[in-house]
Amino acid sequence: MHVKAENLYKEFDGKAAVVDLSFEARAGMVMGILGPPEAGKTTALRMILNVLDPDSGSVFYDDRPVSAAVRNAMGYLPELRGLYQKYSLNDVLVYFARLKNVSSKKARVEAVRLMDRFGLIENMESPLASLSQEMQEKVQILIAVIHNPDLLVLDEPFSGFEAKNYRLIRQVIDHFRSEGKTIILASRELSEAETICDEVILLDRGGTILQDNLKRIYKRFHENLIVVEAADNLQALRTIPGVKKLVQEKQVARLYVDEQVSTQKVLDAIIRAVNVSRIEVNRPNLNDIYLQIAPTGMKESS
Amino acid sequence: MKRFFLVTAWEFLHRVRARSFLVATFLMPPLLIAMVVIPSLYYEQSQASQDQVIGCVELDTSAYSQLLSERLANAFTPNSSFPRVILEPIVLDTTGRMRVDYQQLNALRHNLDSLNEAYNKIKERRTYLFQRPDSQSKEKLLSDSYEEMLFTREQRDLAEIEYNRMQTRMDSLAQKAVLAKADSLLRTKRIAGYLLINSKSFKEGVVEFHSEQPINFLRLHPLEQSLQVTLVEERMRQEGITVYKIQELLRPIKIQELLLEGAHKREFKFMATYLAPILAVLFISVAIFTASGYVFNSIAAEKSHHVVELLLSSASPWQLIAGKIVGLGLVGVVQILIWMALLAVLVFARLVPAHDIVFLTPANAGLFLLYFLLGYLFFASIFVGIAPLSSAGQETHYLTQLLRLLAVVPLVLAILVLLAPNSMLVRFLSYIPFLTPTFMILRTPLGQPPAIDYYISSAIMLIFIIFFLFFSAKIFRAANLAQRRDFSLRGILELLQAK
Repeated sequence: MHVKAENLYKEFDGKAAVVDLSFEARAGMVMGILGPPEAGKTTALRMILNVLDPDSGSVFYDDRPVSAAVRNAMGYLPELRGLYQKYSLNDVLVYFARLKNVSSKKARVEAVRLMDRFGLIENMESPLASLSQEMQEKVQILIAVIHNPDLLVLDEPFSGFEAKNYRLIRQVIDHFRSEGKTIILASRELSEAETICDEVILLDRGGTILQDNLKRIYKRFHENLIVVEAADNLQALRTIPGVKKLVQEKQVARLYVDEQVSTQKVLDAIIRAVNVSRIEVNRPNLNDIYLQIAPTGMKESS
Repeated sequence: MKRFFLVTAWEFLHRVRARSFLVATFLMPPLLIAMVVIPSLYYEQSQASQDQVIGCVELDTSAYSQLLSERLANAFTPNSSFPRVILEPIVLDTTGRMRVDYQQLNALRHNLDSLNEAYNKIKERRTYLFQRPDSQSKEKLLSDSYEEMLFTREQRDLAEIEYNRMQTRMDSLAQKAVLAKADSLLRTKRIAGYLLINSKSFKEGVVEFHSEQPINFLRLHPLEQSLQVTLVEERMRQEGITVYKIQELLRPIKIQELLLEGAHKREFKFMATYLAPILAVLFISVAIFTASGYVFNSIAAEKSHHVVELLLSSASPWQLIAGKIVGLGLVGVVQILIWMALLAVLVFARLVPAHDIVFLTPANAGLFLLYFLLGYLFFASIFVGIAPLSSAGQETHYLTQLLRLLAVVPLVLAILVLLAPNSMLVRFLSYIPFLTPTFMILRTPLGQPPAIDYYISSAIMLIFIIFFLFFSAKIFRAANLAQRRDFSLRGILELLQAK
């Protein structure tokens, strides 16, 4: 499914939650909407899912506005995960499949197939409350995919899952991508997201601060990153030639260094300037890039 | 529409199979019937089985207690709804010190009587002497007898003073003793109370009734009636009316109540006229609050278990709300139908007399169902808006408590309907939506309200249902998706304005 969002805007109580969000997510692509808490990621996802109406802007699905058929083709894993605790596993899976317009017979067959595949078949008549935490997480993933959606929307898929299910969610994403489905995920785990996303949108206080293909982003932010830990005043490192930007978190400084300048010379200058307890030279990852470009006020929270 | 039916079926099937529904449907009826009927049966049984022994103290009268006793015995019939009252005269024990005093009083009486007799004899003798021809001896005899007469009179006057003093003291002691005895009988529970009758009682129409605890006025009713009749009889006798005439005038009257129902009339029966409709109202109120409570619980649980966002990604808020309201409303309808079927079985098995439920005509049953639906929709439409806020702040908690209180108020005010089903006040109260179901269901068999009352009350309820549904639906979506959990009234207003 080709999803196209145009200038989405939403505010709550006079405060903007999402400002001018536009993007295109094509079939077979993983689109990441990333940023710190309260950046507007969940609000953006809810507008894509048509759970919330945007104040302005619109979303098109295969160049058409939302319809019952489109809603049926969406699968959703919300950030706040919960289930009917009193009802049986089989009933709940069939109910959510039926809500996505799957026929009764197909829903029952699919529910049994998934329960069998993911080792839940013995618990099919058990109330969900009696299942372990790990099993309940699995059920939540199954609810999102039981109707084989064309668009899979995942809110914080790398948070709150146990290790086994974390691997499962990555397998699900890979499987759907290989099947040519569209995946849109929202996450504050930038380092996790960059390993799986094709394109990312970095949000900050509702606004887009970076949006591009990951390869192009890495190419654009191709400078070296030197991480220095020292007890001294790290702000002194700002004056070293070749340092484009310094971001300090407590006694750790991240120096973004021009790739044209010799790394060895910069390292020598650092060692001379401060009493170094740790020093690393890296290529910047998405988290480093975010820290580099995000407004100062938000860096502390990231 | 498909999702609406799915939600309806989901809510209906899961609720109707739940243990809470089975408990509410099959355990609630015996409980409700027990609450209403057992006190009534207990009262009737206790009235029938327990004779009321009432004492009677007569201070300066006599024979009234005997008269009252006979009247009470005649008035009692085995089928009477009042208890049998046995009147027991309380008389003084002449023992011990009292007996010695009485003997002394008797001796004084004898002495006084003999002095009176002696005095009268002297007077007779002197009369005889006066009639004799004059002579010297006559003069002397008259002179001597005069001295004797004066002495005897003086002795008699002194004896009379002493006797009167003794009698006054004895009367006072006797009165105290008889009252002490009556109080003692009261304290030892041998009598439930006692009447105090004196000569003023019948003149002024006031008879004192002494008891340890307040006695149910119904238990005093036969006694009061017998006293009334005795009083009137005594007054008539004093006016010179013959006993035969008095009996004729005091012939009792029995009122036979007949109720007009359409073209027919039927005899008034307490169970059929009052108790059964009250039970019907109780059952329908339980059904209304059980079903609307399910709506509240369902929405609150989906929010607290974080399921609602998942549901909203598949169905619109209106589909969810409508599905829940219809599905859980059907649960209420099924509950009422089960109760009606159980009632039919009980009538068929002759465990419930058919004439006790004559008010349950098809037309009335239809009206009851209509007001169940209106009542359910009214409260459900409010709960749809409040339930997503239920786990939130203090103000929402107060609002929920207030709504629970509103469930009780109509049942308390129902007494107004029992007293005057078609009074202006009751008609006005019937138009207030949260009172409408209870009032109209109770009024239907009791007062056969005018058709306009059905139209107006239904129309007002429908307007309020639409009004509350509109606002509740707005709150439902906004509150279910909101991150915050503390909803003040201002917060709720903001939710209403949210797009």
